[in-house]
Amino acid sequence: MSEFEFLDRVTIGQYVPGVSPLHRMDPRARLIAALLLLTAITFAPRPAGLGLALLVVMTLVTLTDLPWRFLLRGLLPPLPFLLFLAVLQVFFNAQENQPPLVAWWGVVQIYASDLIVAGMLVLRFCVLILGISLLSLVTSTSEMIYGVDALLKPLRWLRIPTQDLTMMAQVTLRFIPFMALAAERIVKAQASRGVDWSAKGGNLIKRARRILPLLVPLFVSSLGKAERMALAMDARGYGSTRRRTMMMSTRLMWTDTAAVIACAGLAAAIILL
Amino acid sequence: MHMTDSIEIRDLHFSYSDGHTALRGINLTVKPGEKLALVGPNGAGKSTLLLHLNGILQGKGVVRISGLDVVPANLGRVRALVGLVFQSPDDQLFSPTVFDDVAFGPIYQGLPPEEVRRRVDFALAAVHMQDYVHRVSHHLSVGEKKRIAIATVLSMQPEVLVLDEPSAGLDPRARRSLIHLLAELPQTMIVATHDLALVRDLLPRMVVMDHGEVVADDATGRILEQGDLLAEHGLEKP
Repeated sequence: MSEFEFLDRVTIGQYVPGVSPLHRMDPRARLIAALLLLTAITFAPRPAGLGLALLVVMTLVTLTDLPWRFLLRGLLPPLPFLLFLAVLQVFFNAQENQPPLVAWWGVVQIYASDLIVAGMLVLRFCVLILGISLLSLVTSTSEMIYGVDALLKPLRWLRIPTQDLTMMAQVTLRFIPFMALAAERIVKAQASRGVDWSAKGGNLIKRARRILPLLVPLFVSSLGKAERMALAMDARGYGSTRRRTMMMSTRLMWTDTAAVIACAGLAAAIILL
Repeated sequence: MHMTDSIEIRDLHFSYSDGHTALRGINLTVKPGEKLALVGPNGAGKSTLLLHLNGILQGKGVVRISGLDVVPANLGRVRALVGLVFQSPDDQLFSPTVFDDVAFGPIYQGLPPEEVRRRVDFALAAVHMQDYVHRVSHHLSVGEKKRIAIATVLSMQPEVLVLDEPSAGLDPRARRSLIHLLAELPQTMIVATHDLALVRDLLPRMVVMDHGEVVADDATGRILEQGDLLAEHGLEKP
């Protein structure tokens, strides 16, 4: 992979078409089920619950026939940060220490409970990332928009412009590949004038300094792009009527309801175990 | 019987907020089905004038589209009547797929889903891109994007097509096929361009603008014969 190809590194928002039960599930039910499970994983207080969560996510991945390599690739970029956080957690665990004492150097004492808390942190984030990637891999943008719009509908009673919020979500997703491409263009332009992008290492400040000349033009070009996109939307009558047509209409099947109820049960088990 | 003009502009003035005057008393009438070129050097006010046609900019004076005044109360209807195709198709295509992009206008007109699908099929057929309906817009070539950009406004069934530099960035073959495509379309057409060969082949009437004013308005053949006039306004005979 060339050092200039940023688009390949963007895995968020990727969708893999398929016919698995997860793909066929009603988008609204899929979003509710995902929200329930992800919330439970975020707040699961004990290792047994997180273990169950891992089992559930692995089962769901098997159901979809998605290649594991696809999902595991998403774990790699944040892994160094997670391990760093885990080490901090071992030394600065605020919870009460519980024996046995595993290791000690003078005043530094590491208890088994510290290791368990650190392990849970890494596991929790890995399961969350797997879960979110799975949702994005089986949900196309139009399904996501349909689902979000349907779920936000009750807010319209409070005069909250839910359709605009949905459009914002859609435009945000659209901007991810655009920003990657724009960054690629800027980096190439700078490299052609002698900036060394292949240089690795250096401390945090040095790295930040290298990124800064990229960020400023990226912001400028993104703002310009946003303005032109707004013009293009205006020109095609966006906002000139409050009635927007929904192209997707699906009916909740009993299997969708059953799946949501099952996920609610699993979510409760993840918290309570 | 008197037919309503497609476009009627009377004494249109416009200044940007930084004080720069872009249009100084433009008068222009375009009949239904007429195909007109808008030429002139950079900064002559061509793009500014185009943005007035569907009310994105609103200056002092009168702009009427098919007899309808371009005023805030009419904007929804005016924007359905005037299809504006931007110079860069990347600015026009912002949805996940070609279908979503072409359906955008009809969806926000609140048309029923079957009608939206029919409009998308019709618009893609008009630009000969039916097979691209499920493709991702930003993965297409510039020529393909240009056709899809035109389809995004054809799906609104406009009476007037407004194109800003349609041939910019196209290779000779894509350019030639775009000219054929534009010649097929029945709409009233107003095309801002520097491509005088395209004007000669496609657009029978030519309006030359400079410094925010119309300096010539005549049959394309007659204007292209006036070498001095072209040179004076930074243009070259094709």
